[in-house]
Amino acid sequence: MALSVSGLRLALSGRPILNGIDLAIAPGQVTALIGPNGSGKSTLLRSMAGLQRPDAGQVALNGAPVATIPPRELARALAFLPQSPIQPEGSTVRSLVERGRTPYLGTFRPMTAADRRAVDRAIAQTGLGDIADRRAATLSGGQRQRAFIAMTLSQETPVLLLDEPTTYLDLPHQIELLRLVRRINREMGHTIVMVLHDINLACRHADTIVGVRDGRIVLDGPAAQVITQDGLRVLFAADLRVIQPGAQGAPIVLPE
Amino acid sequence: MTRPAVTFGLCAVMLGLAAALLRVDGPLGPGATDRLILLHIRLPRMLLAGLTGAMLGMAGSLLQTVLRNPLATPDVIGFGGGAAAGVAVSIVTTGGLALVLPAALVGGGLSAVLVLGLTWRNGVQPLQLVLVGVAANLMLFALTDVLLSLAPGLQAGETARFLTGSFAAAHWPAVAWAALACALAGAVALATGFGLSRLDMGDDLARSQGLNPSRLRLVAIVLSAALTSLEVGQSGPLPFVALLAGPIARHLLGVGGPAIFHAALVGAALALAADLAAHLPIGGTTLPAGLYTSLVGGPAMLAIILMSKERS
Repeated sequence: MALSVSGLRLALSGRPILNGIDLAIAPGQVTALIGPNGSGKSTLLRSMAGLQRPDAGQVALNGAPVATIPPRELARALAFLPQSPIQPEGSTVRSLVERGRTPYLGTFRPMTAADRRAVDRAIAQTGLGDIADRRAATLSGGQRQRAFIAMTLSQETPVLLLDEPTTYLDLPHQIELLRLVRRINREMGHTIVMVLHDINLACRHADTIVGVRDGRIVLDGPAAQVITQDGLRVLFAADLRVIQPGAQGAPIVLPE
Repeated sequence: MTRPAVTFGLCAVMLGLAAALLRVDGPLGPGATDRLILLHIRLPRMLLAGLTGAMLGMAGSLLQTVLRNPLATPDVIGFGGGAAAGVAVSIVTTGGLALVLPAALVGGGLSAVLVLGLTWRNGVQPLQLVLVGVAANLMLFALTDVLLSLAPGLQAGETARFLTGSFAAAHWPAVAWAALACALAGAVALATGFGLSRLDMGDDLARSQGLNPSRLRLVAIVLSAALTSLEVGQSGPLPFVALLAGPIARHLLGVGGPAIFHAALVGAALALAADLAAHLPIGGTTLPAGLYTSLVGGPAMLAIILMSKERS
C-alpha cells in the first residue's frame, strides 16, 4: 500500500512544525524517521495517521487523501501506535490485543471467530502466547511494548505507524523489539514507518532512513548512503564520526 | 462477583427499597382512600425517587467515563450549579415554583454551553473542562447565595427548601418526564456503549482505531447536563449520587470500563434509600432526602478512595 506525503505544512498554536514535506514511503519496507528533538518527526507520523489536520498539502494512501477516507475504513488500512498508550485498568495481554479489532466491531457487532483468530495470530506472532492471560499491569517494559505491537497487528492493516516504539526500553529490549518489527515486515509484508531516536539502531533495522530537521526532510535513502558525516551535520548541526563498515554492514555513528 | 450476579443483586436491593418505601408510612388497606394514597402519593414518590437516582447515576458515570476522571460529575463541573442558580432566579423573581423546571433547564443548559464554549479547542478538552467547570460551579453557587441573601424571607426560605432536594412533592407528570429521560439516556448509553468503552487508552489510539472521541464526549456531556438540569428542576439537587453511583458500580463489577447501566441501578438504590431515610422521624420532624445523600456522600467518597488505594 502506497503512502505518500506532498507539500505538507502544519503549525501548532502558531508555531510552524512542518514546512513543506514531500515524502514517498516505500511499500513493504521499514522506514525510520530520525531527527533532533522538536524536528517535527512525531507530528509528521501523526499527520500520516490522519490524526493531525495539515494547514496545506496532504497525506495520501494509494492516491486517496487520508482526510477524505472514513475513519473506520482508514483504521482498517493503517494502524498507529502512540508513544505511550494508556493501559486500561484491569486489562490483560489478550484484552489489550483485542482492542486492535475496534475498527471491525461496534455496539451491535460483537467479536466473531474471525476476530478471535486475528487476535490469536497477533499474540502468536509476538511470542506472547505463554502470558496471554497475564494482567497487563504485571508486564515488563519489553513485554508491554510487544503487547502493544500485537494490538496494532490484530488491527490487520497493511500499514503500521509506530511512534518511538523503543522508548523506556533498555538496549537489549530495544533490539529485541526492532527485530520483531523487522520479522513482521519480512513475514507479512507490512509497510512500517517508525520514529526512532537511536541512529545506530535505525541503521540496522530499517531499509530507509528519513531525516527530519526543522519540519523539512533533509535525508531520505538507505542508511549506507545517507548516514554520512555530511548527512548528520545537516541533520543534527553537529559533528559526529561515522564508520562505514563496507558493503554489507550498516554505518556506525560515534560521538566525536 | 459475576456481571449477572451484580445485576440481580442490585435489582433485588432496589426492589426491596422500593417496597419498603411504599409501606414506610404504614400499611395500606384495600379501601378507596388507601388506594388514592397509594396511587397519588406513595407510588409517584417512590417511582420519582428511583428514576431520579437512575438519571443521576447515568449522568455521573457518563461524564466520569468520557472525561476519564472520577471527580468529573455534573454537580461538580457546573451543570448542577447552573440548574440550581436557575431555580433560585425563578423562585426569587416569580415568588413561586411555577417556572422552576424550565428555569433549571435553562440554567443548566447555559452553564454547559459556557463551560464547553470556554474550553473547546478542536473538540472537548477533558482536563480543561473539569477545571473550568469547577470554577463555574463555585461562581454559580455564589450567585445562588447572593440571590438567597437578597430575596425576601419567604422566597429565600422556599428556594433554600427546594435546593435541599426532596421527593415529597412528587406527582405523575414528573414521573413521566423522568421515565422519558431515563429511556432516552438508556438508549444513548446503549448506542454509544461500544465507543465509550474504548476511550480509556487515549484519544490518539481511539481515533486511529476509527472512533470519534470528541463526538462521543459531546453527546455524553449534553445528555448529562440535560439529565442533571431536569433532575434539579424536579426534585432539587441530590448531592453525591452522580458521583458515587459509577465508582460503586465499577467496584462491585470488579472490572474497568464504563458501567452506565449498573450505575443507573446503584443511583436508583441510593436515591430510594435516601428517600426512605427521609421518612424517619427526627426530633418530631423529617429531613429531606438531599440532606441524607449530602451527609453520607462525603464519607462514602472517602471510603471509595481508600478502598481503591488498597486494591492498587
